[in-house]
Amino acid sequence: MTDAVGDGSLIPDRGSFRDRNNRVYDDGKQIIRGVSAEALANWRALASESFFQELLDEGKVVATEQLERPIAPTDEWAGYLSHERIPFVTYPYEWSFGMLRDAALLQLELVERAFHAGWSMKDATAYNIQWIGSRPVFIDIPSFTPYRAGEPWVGYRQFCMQFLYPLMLQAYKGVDFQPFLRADLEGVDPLLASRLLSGSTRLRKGVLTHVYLHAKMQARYAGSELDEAKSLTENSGKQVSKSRKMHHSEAMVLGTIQGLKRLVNRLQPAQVRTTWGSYDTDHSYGDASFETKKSFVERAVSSARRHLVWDLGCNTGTFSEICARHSDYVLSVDGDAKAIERLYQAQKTKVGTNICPAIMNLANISPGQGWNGEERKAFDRRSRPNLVLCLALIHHIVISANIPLGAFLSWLRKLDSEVVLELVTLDDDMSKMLLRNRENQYGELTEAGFEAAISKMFRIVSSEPLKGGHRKLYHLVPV
Amino acid sequence: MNVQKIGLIIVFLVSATSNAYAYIDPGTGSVVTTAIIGFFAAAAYTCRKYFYKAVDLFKPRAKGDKSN
Repeated sequence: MTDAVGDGSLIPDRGSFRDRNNRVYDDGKQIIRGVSAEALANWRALASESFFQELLDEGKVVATEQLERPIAPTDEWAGYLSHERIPFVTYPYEWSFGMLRDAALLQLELVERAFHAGWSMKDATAYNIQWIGSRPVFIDIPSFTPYRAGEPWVGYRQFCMQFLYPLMLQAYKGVDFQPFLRADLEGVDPLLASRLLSGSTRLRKGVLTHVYLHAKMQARYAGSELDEAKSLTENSGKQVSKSRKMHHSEAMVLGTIQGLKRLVNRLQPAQVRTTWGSYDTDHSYGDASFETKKSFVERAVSSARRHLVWDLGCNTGTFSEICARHSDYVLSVDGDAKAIERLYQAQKTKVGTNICPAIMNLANISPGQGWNGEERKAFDRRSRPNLVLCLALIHHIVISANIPLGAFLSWLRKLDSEVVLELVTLDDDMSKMLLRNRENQYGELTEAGFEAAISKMFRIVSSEPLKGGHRKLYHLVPV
Repeated sequence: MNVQKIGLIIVFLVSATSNAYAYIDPGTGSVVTTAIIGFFAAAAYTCRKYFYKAVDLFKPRAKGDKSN
């Protein structure tokens, strides 16, 4: 146990309210979880279990301690836990296939190990898993509950909707799962999954049972519930039927979990060639220009140690690696799922990596959504970066996405961070390629136009021309 | 006999007591699905368990190991 160090002003996390047994708060220093009497009793029992201590030691569950004293003025809870802070929260619709698969395997490993020790888990939402660098970590401690003989694993449906079906869509149909998870925070419904994984895909491993059968059963019982609802008229004298009783033996639960583990382990993403999937070898720079660019970035990022760096348009992470050497944490963002998957696969084998990959179209960043538009925070409303890298990104924003240069720079300025930016002018071959089939309405994408646009927002600390003057690197600080 | 009928028979066979209460609704259809999948998975799990036990019986023991 430790003493609370917060100043008492607990700010409730807007995404933590579904389970009334606990709620997460942030006091600016610590992540604190208020727990009910029942959840506190569970925590005390759980903390004494060797399987749970092993999970903590292995870093598979977020470091957690019980706080000794209640935190005034919020004393509505029976007890308080403090958690290690996740450096930057990401959501499943921002993860690559490998990330979602590793998160799924962690969820299954936890529930299996818990089950062997006489515990269960009361949900299986992908939002309970976060990343410290490229390592998945389970964050929702009150999910662990004592196992009651005969109970099924109640998280099965949620696991299918938020892990299994999205992975199957990518593996069996080559369909990106991220738009589905972003569109519906509950995940992919069994009926939708059954329609999408139809035809010969039904014969692929796990589809007939976990998808087709699941959808059929859901439709069947939804139909009987509808019939019951229709029969419950005011004068019918009928009562709502009781919950269906169904005994699940331990072997049934364990067998299902282990079967899911084998299934998820076998899923592989369909191979698709993308523009930047092999950026580290396919980029357009000569060796000297590439070295110049790397040296400029290294000088800028090593000028001070920064807590959080965003590498926007990171491709396969060449420059994220440079940032990682001089910063506490690097969030590497790119719209190309294959590039992010490559970065993740390279990073996950490195012990203690501080690079967290994320997939996002920067012209359409993750919005605030869920209840009241706040349950899942917008990308730029989570944690403020200290430095933002925008290398060879601006021509994609301005030309490909038709975002005005001034609008993009204003967004960058609102982040209130230092910026390292590579300007790609209209004279650059990559800009010419993007302009090949469209009208040139991007006159501001010149050195003079860019410097005029930033003059009221940023001060230029240093700059260096690149690729014969067709590109230019800038280190900027907000004014 | 279609898949649903087979499923319902299995559900009938394994149904007894115990409710599942959680803050999320596991969904009746999903619980029935886990019962059907679990029925077969349990059979496979039990077979695997006894298979590995049987394999262990025939494994040569290290010298000095007098345990049964």
